[in-house]
Amino acid sequence: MVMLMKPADIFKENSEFFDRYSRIDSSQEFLEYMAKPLRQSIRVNTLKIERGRIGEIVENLKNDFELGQIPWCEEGFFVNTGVRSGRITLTVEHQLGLIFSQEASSMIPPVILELRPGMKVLDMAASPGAKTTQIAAYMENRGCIIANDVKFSRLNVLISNIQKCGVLIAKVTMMDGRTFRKWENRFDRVLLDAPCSNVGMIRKNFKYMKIWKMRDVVALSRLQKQLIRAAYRTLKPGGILVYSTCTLDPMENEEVVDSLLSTTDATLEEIKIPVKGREPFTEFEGEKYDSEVKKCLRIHPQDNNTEGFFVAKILKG
Amino acid sequence: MKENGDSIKRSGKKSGKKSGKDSEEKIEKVIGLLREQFGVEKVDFELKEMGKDRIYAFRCEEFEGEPDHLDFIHHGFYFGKLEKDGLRLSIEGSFLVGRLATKNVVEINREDVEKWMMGENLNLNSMNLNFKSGREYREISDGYVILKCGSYFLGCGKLRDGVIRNFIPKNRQIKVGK
Repeated sequence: MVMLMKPADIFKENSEFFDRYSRIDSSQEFLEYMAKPLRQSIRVNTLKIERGRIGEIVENLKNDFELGQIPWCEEGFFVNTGVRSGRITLTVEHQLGLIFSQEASSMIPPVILELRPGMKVLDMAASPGAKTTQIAAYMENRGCIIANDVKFSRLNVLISNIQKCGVLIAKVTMMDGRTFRKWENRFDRVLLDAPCSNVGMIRKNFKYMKIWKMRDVVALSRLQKQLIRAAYRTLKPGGILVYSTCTLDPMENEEVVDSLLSTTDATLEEIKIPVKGREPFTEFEGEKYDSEVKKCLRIHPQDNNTEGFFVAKILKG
Repeated sequence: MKENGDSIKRSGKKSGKKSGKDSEEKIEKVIGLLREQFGVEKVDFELKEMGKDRIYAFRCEEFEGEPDHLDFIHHGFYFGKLEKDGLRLSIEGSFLVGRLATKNVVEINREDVEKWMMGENLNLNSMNLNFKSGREYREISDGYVILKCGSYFLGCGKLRDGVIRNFIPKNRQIKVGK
């Protein structure tokens, strides 16, 4: 059980990881929160119930669970264990698709995409579909979402979540995201929730720390730079691209955004939502990044008691 | 006539696997059943058959500037099944048209919702039905009925001899004691 282990003991299991992350966040608080299990959170699916009736769902669930508003997402709630020992995923509301189990920080990218009904949106690495379904909700099931993923094994869960949430406008494709570079200026909005080393998810599943390797970070960083360029190219002028990862390595975050800024006319916009973040890296291990990356949002687990997360809001002129 | 609720649309284009005459006839039949069974006259989405008698609902057939040669694996969601004796809506299908339905809608209470979601059949005689005399509940007859509880729609059941047969798929049921 993760709960019973001391933080230092946990990280002894992967010394390469410990060395690397000591340079990213050396605080005791970081270690403590990384060792804590992730608190549950849900999003009310406004494709199945009107926004004005979110309170009804909350009231029904309050009989068995203690819910707390997520400050940066109106329909998002933290879940504390309630009277009944059951899990929220076994409730009527969950099984009917009225609520969706989703990590609180992962609700940020669709919130900042400034979505409207009728838009054409690309979700480049869509599985398992939490953000795809949230995007569809903000678009009120009007417009079109291309929900893409490269792995066949991940499509089943994506399609299942599209079904359960009642998404009418998602077309699922299976392609290498880099292929989208062929289609220039096509989408109003692009979300690239990039494949990453999943350090933020260690609180959810400890295996992510055990399998972490520095050489994977290097390979992922290379892939992320290619994906972000393709994502930017397929975005229409005046459109918004959101780049996010659930990891904290600057090589997979600030460095990827910096690579786009240095090779295109992309600009960054500051993310103004009520969430606690910390100063992004403008320099790491001798690499200097464009000072614009300060506008990105870097969230460490102890900041809001969520998983670690990184988000950049990119504009195309 | 795109997404304005003028009428129910049918499709057999790029994203629909079946586009033959047989499939089009089935969609016509579904449209007819939505009217006859549930009193749904107008909806603002499109329908297609994907797999034998399995009907899917979707929007956004194609958009201007859509990348060409995209091979869609999936589009929209499973709306319901065209059975020999009527249209059986999925949970999502019932959410989509439930608010528009004027007949064959059975409103149940929270206690019966739990039973229904556990996969139990419901007996009309022993149920604490919330029948209303208003617009929404004019008529309930034998055959497929939509179940609802307040804002929740619970898919379709089949009413016969006072018993509503349960069709909630196992993976959507709630399990006792977990």
